[in-house]
Amino acid sequence: MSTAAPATTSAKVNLADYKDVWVFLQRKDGRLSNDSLELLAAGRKVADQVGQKLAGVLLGSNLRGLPEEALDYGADIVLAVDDPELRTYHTMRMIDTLESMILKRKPYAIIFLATEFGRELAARLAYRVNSGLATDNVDFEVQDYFNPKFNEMFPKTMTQVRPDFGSRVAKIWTPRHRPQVATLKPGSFTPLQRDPSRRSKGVIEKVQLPRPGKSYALTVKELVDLPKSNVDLEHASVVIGLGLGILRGADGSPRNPIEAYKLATELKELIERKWGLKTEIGASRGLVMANVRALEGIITRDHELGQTGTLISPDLYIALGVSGSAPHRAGIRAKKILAVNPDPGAPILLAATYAVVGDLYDFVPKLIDTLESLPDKS
Amino acid sequence: MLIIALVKGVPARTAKVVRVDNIVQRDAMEMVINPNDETAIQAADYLKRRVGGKIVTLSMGPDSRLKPVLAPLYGAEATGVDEEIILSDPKLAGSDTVATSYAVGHAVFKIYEKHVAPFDDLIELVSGNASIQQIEAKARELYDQNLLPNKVYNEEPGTRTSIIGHLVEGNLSREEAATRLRTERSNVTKFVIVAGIRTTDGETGSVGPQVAEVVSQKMGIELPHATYIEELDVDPDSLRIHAGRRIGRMIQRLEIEAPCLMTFAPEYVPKKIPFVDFNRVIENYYKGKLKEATKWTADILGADPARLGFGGSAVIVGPAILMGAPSGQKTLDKSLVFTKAADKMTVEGKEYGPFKPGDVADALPQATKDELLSKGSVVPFNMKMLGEALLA
Repeated sequence: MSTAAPATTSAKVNLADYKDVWVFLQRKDGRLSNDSLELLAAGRKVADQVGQKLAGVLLGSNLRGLPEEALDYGADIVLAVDDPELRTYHTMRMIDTLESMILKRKPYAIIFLATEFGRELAARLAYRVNSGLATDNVDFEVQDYFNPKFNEMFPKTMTQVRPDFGSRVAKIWTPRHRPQVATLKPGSFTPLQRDPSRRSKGVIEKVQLPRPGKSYALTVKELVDLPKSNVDLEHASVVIGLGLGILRGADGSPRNPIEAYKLATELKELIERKWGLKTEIGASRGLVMANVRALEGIITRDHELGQTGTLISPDLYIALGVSGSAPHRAGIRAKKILAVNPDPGAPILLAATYAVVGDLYDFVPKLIDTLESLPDKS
Repeated sequence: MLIIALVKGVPARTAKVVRVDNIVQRDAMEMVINPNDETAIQAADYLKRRVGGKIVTLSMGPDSRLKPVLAPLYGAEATGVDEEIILSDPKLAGSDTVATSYAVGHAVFKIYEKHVAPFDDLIELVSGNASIQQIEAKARELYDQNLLPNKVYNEEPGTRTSIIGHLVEGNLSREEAATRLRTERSNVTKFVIVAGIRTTDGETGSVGPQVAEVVSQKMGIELPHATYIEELDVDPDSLRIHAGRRIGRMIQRLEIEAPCLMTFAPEYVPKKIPFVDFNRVIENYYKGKLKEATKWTADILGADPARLGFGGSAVIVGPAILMGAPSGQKTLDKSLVFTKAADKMTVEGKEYGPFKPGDVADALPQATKDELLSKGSVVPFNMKMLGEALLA
């Protein structure tokens, strides 16, 4: 005979008991990460629509200044757990802490960033608190949701909008469970204006670490910061991205990718000289992972663009031979995109401001000539 | 070490996803192994070569579609996959990550139970009144089913090197044999679940951590998980695992006590196998590969049917909406752009414009575009225009 599942799962959740929108904030270089500011903007939207408070959740060691920053950028409340045991990004430790906070305070929703760390926390936590999970959302909207299968109306439910199989989006609901757990794709929201006057109205609540000293079967032995990269993709005005497409011409014939790199360098130098715009060369994850012999030491992991690499927001992104998978596009929030790809169906062309269906080896020299021929900006 | 690798069949081309009633029809699409799961198989293979044991892959989906996809895992000697289990049942259709993890987690537990039970059977026989012949017959039966390692029983000609072999030869007392069986049993309880960081279809990366949670709840332990692993090593004596993973711009190095779950980033490359006592590894191998994947249906999971498939899913996914190109997109040499301002125009009952110079005319009906083109009101978007617009 089959064993029965724990009773907790079949017990119906009283949806009205759950209040407030939580966002799980992460830090970078002693401040809230830029993604976290976007997350506060997303959370603000949901909280306003549902008519509840927005709480920033901060877990870590030595949180100095971060709770105040969260209030400035849109939080009404900050739940801060400041404890040396949280220093090492111990996933299980973090999940235990969040679980105990959720059981005690019953939030309406909790939203994480769709980063390596946010993803795993959200997934395991959602299961542990008997809820569902919608990942990589690009937008949220609070609506009354009617489900024809249950023939039931769920008032004020969070509609979660996420990309679905490449070039589509789908709406997702977690109608019957609370908290609604979601992750937000970085780059989907614009941070709110910093408003230090919010600080006096906000509440910073210090939360004790539950079960301090608990031991785990997994221990963090070492936490090493990777050296700062000498490629400053983050602050470049123009980024030229190279993808696996540089290995072949439009006719499929093999090309030496170093040629594409030289063209990109020439283009970079031209833009820097003529327009005075800081320009950097990056690469898709595909190209970085391919470990192409000819590009050894030239294209490294420091060049990686997209969700798993550096998130960029330049004025112009020039994509050469990049197909534009969803994780790649998620990391690019350029004002303008110029995409060159021989395949008219390449997703990057869909996202482009200027689309060029063709061979980058033909196009880039022509572009360089054209840009050279333009009158000097002065 | 018992190594369970989660392997998913994913659509070969995500552009051709077939849905009926908004449920993905996996049996109507061409499938391949999720590329990230191949990385996990490499990790599984490394662990098996280092400490011995057995690799069991676990998949969920229609078995008729999955069998051909999984077949190459047997073919190459390099991949030491011993057994494949496919969880295939219409009751599992429409699962979200929670319902998927629930089913997969229960199957993991079933695999674990299946590999621990033979030790319990033998320990009971050895500690009880069964004759040596009965014990040997039982051991042979279990060994032939790929459920006992060489160390417990084998048919190496001319020697009796196994625990049961020594018992039969009289080199080991029943008590000693039972003690050694208990030690071997505890090695099996230190099982490891491996998976890719995410699938190329769902792209959520959620099932790994959630399966760890399901198994934890099922077993009443706290089974840790670690995602995005790029470095892996194992101590053959303690079976303690050393792993490194990258989160943001940090490398986090971990020590993990099995049982545990790990997901592997595409950056993971197996280390060289150091010079090890190969005999010891061989002792921990099982008889051999099973040629045919085993199909499991939902009934044998011992799971709550209400938590499986669509009904057990917490999230509801609405219909997918195709995202178009951004408005105003210009394609080189193809898009038509206005040379001067144009007023609002109505064509076939639809309103267009007004247009500024440089605005794109692509949305207009073909006949209108032809007319505008002949009048010189629009021209193809050329290289010079692109150059001028690009850094403006």
